Amino acid sequence: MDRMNSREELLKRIYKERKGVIRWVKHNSGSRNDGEDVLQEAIIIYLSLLDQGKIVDNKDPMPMISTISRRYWLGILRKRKSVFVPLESVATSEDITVDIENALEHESRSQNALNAFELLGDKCKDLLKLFYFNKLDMVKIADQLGFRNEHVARSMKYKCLDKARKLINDK
Amino acid sequence: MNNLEQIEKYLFGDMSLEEKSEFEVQMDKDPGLKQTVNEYSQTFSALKRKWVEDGIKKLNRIRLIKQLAVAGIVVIAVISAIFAFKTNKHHEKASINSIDFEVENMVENSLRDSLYIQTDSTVLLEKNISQSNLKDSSYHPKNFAPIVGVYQPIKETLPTIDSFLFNEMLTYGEIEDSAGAETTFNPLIGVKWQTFTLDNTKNNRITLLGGTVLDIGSGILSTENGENNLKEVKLRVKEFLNYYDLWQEGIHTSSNGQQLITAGSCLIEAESHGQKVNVKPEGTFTIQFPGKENPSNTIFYGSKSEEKGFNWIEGGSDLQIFKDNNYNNFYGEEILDDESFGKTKSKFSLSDTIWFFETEVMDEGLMAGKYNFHTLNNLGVFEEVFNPLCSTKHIDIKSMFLRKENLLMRFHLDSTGYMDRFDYNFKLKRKAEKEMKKNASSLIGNTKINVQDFKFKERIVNVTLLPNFRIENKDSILTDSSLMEMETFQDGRLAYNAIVSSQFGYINCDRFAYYNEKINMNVHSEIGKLQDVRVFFLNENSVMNSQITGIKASIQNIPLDQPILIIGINQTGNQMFILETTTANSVKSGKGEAFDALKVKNILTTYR
Repeated sequence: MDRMNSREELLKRIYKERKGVIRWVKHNSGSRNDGEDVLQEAIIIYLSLLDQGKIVDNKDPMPMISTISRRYWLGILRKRKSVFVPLESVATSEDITVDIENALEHESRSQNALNAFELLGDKCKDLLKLFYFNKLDMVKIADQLGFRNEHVARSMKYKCLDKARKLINDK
Repeated sequence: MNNLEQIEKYLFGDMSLEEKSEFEVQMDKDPGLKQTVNEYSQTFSALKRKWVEDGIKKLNRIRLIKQLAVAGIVVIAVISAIFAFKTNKHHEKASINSIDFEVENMVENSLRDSLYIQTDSTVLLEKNISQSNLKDSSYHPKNFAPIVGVYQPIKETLPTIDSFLFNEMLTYGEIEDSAGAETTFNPLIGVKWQTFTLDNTKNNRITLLGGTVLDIGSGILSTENGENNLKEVKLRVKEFLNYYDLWQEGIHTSSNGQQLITAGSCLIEAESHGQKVNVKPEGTFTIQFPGKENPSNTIFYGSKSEEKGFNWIEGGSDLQIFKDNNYNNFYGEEILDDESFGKTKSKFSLSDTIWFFETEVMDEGLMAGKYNFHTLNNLGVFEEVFNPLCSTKHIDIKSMFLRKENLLMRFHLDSTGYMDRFDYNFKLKRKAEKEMKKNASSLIGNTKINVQDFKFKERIVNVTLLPNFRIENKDSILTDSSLMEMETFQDGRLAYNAIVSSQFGYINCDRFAYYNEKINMNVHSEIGKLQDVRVFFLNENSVMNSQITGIKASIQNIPLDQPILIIGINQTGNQMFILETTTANSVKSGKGEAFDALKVKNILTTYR
């Protein structure tokens, strides 16, 4: 097994079970598209919490995904002022609630940042994705991407990350 | 531990509590650090969002394809029962020399339509299409090759075989890049003209990009009006050295329906002051095509007309053939001593069949691209193209052909932010036995680059490219170089087939293909007219066209024991199909198997 569970595998697991979230959003004044957006947002938050060690990766991510989805969607509804929904209606422990709220607040939804990301070289994109998302270790990445060894790959990873930071934050 | 490692640990919760609080104190003291941490945090956030978005898009696409596949299975199961019934009926009529394929479009307007093939003379197929064996059949949707890509038409017209194959060679089964995004290509269609200005009062030797050499003696050209005293003549040439080039030109290799195997062909045109120029009636000139020599090769002239299509006609007995394997005769010192390549010569042996190519191109520490090319078949077409993680989205495959003394590469990199194009062209020089280590230079776009460590061995060429393409001083010392390694297989000998021609135009160095056993094949389309069906011989440089009458295409005299590709376009259904098979090594009586392992390599109906 690689460093951790691949985020890609995790994504597949969540995607398989996505219907519940979408259905819930549809039942709560949302459309199917809203449901898909909410799910995507929830996955991003979930991964952030996971990466920060705020939650533990377990075999069933759906309860947490559902919780995040609901909080996120209810937040949107409140902003739209179309529906009054007490947040308490989503039962969650206090600690994780704070974490979720922080993560929701913190998540960058800047399209500029995503566009900037496109300027990053494909090799860099691959490298960063394999390491941070697919959770491959450097030896495998070096092998897969054809670097001479893991040290070269690691050094390249930092260069790529730095370049990504400059591109995204200069936007 | 450097800052970035610390930041990474901090953001990913990999610090102990002590480390964390210490780092936070540090951040409080250092606003710059805090700012950097925030920036990295935003970066990770953006990256994650991008990956998740791409991942979901990819999963959505997979779901769609699965749904379509399920629909296809249901339909094909029903239809197979019908055809199983039909097949039994047709058994009595089975003939040794005629095999019919029936192509049927089962599901219209889907990403992948089902293709159904029937023959009434092969036991193999008969088994496969029975309902009980459907699940193991190579025609079962699960066994179909994956869709190679969403065809991106350039114009609102039907796709052509040429454009499709170009696309297929580029993508070769890869529709998505590593992030799940669709990859599209803009195929460049058409063999390019190479133009020259000759002095007709002197001997002219022209070495074309593909390695073809023209020797045009002084004073042999005249205008079609008979003007002999020409000095400046503009000559342009297209080279067709493999079946890919032939596709692009829309020509084939058959002479009055007889299959030819080509050792190279070209189209030559010339003019002087607006007048067409050709070889004088008594004049001749020599063309040398690089390739394995074959004494059976002779000259053919091509003619193309709208009514009769294209045809090759044998050039006549008075035209001599000669071979010359001593390439030094063909290369004057002035070429070998080209300053760019140095004066040291090296022998270089290669086959025209298989080679391996890998390079990493680096640009200011960022990887710009990695390319894995494996296995060129003997026609210069890649069997595998590149690693799906390859960052290159546009590769001009044509320029990747290794054609004897010229290795032309053209990469279109889209990823570095610094460079979106990489043209590279160097000539492999060969003369001495030892390795050559010499600086060389070439042009990348408008930027001059250098090549270091230009080494030739018997079977391996190592070329070290400059890592920084913006360095213009060829004497620069490089510390961070990338390696391009090319390995050739076997000890294919360099040789030329030389022919003497008495005219310009389409000229082909060919031989007739003689096979003891042949079959005829018919391809039927049940959903409408066929537009184009061709047979490509994978082990020979040969392409045969078909006679099309409405929904039926006939291809005569297909030799046995040959791997072939049958490629066609169905006009009505916009369906393009590719069948890959090997004709059996013998035809048995009655219901003998005429085709081995007939499999659907590809079906495209994605054109909309």
